[in-house]
Amino acid sequence: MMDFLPNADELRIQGLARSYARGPLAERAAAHDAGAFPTASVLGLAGFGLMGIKSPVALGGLGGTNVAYVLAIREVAQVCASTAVTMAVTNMVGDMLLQFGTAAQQERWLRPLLTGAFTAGAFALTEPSAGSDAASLGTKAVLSDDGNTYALTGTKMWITSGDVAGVILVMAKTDADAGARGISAFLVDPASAGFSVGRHEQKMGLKGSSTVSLTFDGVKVPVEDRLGPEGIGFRIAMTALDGGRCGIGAQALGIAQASLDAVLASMAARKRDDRALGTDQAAAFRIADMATRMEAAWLMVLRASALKDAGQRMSREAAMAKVFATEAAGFVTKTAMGLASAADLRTDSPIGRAYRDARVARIYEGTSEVQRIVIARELVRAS
Amino acid sequence: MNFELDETQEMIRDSVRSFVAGRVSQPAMKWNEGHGDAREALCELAGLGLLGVLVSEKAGGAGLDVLTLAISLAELARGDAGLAAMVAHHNAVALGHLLAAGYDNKPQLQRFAQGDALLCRAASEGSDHLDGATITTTATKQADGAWSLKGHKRLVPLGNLASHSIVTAMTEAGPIALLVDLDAAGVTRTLSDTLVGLRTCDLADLTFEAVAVPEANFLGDAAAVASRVAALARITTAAIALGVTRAALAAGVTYSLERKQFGKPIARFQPIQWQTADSATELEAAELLTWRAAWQLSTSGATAHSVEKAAIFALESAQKVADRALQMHGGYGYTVDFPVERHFRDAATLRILADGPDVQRVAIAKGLATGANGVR
Ligand SMILES: Cc1cc2nc3c(=O)[nH]c(=O)nc-3n(C[C@H](O)[C@H](O)[C@H](O)COP(=O)(O)OP(=O)(O)OC[C@H]3O[C@@H](n4cnc5c(N)ncnc54)[C@H](O)[C@@H]3O)c2cc1C
Repeated sequence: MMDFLPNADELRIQGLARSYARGPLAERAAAHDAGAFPTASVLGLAGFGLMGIKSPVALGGLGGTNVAYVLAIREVAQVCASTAVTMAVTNMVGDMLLQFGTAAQQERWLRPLLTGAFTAGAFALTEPSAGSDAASLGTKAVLSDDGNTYALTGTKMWITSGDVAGVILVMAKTDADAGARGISAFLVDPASAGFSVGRHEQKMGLKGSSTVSLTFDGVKVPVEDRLGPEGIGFRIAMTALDGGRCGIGAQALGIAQASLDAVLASMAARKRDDRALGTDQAAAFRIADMATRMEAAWLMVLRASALKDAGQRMSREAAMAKVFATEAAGFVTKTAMGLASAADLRTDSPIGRAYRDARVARIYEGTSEVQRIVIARELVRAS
Repeated sequence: MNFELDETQEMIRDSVRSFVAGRVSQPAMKWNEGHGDAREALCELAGLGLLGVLVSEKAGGAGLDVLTLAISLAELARGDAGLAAMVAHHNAVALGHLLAAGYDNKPQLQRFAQGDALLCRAASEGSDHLDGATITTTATKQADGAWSLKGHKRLVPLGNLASHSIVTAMTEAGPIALLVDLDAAGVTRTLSDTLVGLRTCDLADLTFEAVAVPEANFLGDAAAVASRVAALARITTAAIALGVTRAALAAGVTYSLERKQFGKPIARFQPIQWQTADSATELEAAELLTWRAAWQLSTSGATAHSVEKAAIFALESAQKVADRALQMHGGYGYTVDFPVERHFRDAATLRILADGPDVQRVAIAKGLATGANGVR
């Protein structure tokens, strides 16, 4: 039977996220947008298990589904996109530990991630000259002669929470000549010698989320901190992004919802004042289009997530959901700027903030162009 | 038919272009971050004769036409749209109103035209209006013939820097305009909230508490000049949008030629090429619409809504082109280190300078319905 209703447990998890988001988080969202990293908000979410929605309850997670995950991200993003992205990346790192980690690795890294003992997790794939072409990354991991430790050397860029994370999942080349198959994944303790945090990016939006460059100068990583066997690092990264893309789609739609809600509220206020602009249908048709695109996008995000819950391959659906949802959010937040009153064009109004926050969703975790490349490749592969 | 600029227009365009390269492009990054302001640049623009473009030479201005003003503003906006917005406001909206109202106090007009003092025009009010449609500010005639002005105006360009403001106000007989000394008793100016874009543009909220305005500063019926002022606001906003569009397109092309992924410059990938081609085409169309409308305003003044068509198209193109250019920059486009981030914000904020595209669409449609557009 086909139904589009989340189950009771999924609704419960959504409810947890919603009440935290609309309660304590809402009070701090403006401060986060002004640049304050959401430490307290992240800890608050961890307290409800929301930093590891799919991780087992026994480890401090919620044992939820991918559908529950996107529901929760959307709730948080609707109130604070900076907190939502911090939460999304932490969840993604946790998922990889869950999927590829040993029991010992999960105990050592996943548990503190879920309980809030670690403020966040970070995912370090991108480098200054390896963005869309992530497989061309240049960070090297060289195994010592005794086979006990790797030495990591290289520079990562744009790393969300890279300065506050308790664990950083780093992709590095263990075989420089094997292309994507030469990449392995490592769990790096930021307290390691040779690790340093570089510049903090000053961004248009997501100002509460930290985005930093990281330098690894011969950082020693014990072999037991390698995630999965050598050579599957790129596969781990792509698996992470398949799930991550649903999360970013949900994040973008949360931001879009905040923008649409603000437009509706200001239109309602104008109507009460009986001072409508005389172009009511222009506004009416636009909000109808905004909501319709958001609805279609949301169904795509839910479906990709449901496929993942059913254990099916969903790279194509995830890429479609991501590009459609983030472009819908671009349309919605831009249209809202056109419908906004003068006061709503303030940089820190809900509409102004959404316009700035939504823009990055078409860039990170694979640009819109990269999503289209993935979609076309998957279609050709299937034909 | 001739699509070439004349000698004066070319000369002015080139001088503004080199001014932008030398004095605007770099500091614009800082101005937009809230470090320092563009006051000095405004003084230098006065020296170039750019603060009295439409005022006759006899009255101390440059005596040039709307097209030349639009060309200058487009160049200026390539460096900083907020700076261009202030120059547009002073020249076209404020001085444009003064000229349309037949203001003839020569010494005062000359001070404005030469940039010794800046002039603004305070029309918009209330939180939910951009177009100043409803005026709640009032002016009451006193026994001595002076006016007493009371009310609140928001987001007035140059409101902090200007010495005087034209203020629209309601009287029993309808809307009028007054020339108000902003240092007069009862005037309070406060910095407006920071907007998403146009951060170099000085914006103020002005409050008038029983401000006495001498009879000589009465500028007549505000409605009589409203359509001329609106057309000037729209065309200059279109020109600024063109500048933003051109700057964003150039930034995207430059970056896409430099940035390599998958072993080649991203400019070699088709999606980047399409985006660049579409942006270049839209820029061209926006430019032709804008120059033609500006030329019509300079000559006959009868425009068959060509001003509105240009303004809608130029504003919407600026948003699209800035969006594409930002996308081409990948993550870098999201940081304040690259001007394209600002173009993306500016493009969406331009509508505060004139009434928004949707209002103008209605105007075009009404024109078509009455046959005034010459379509039927
Ligand atoms: C706020 C923020 C947070 C981020 N967080 C993280 C993080 O936590 N971890 C992490 O690893 N990374 C992170 N990133 C990096 C992000 O994933 C990259 O920015 C993104 O993958 C794009 O790479 P790039 O910026 O180098 O752009 P480029 O790859 O240089 O792309 C530039 C342009 O070229 C286009 N392009 C490139 N190749 C092609 C092609 N073959 N065909 C057509 N078009 C192409 C792109 O679509 C884009 O429009 C973050 C980025 C930002 C902005």
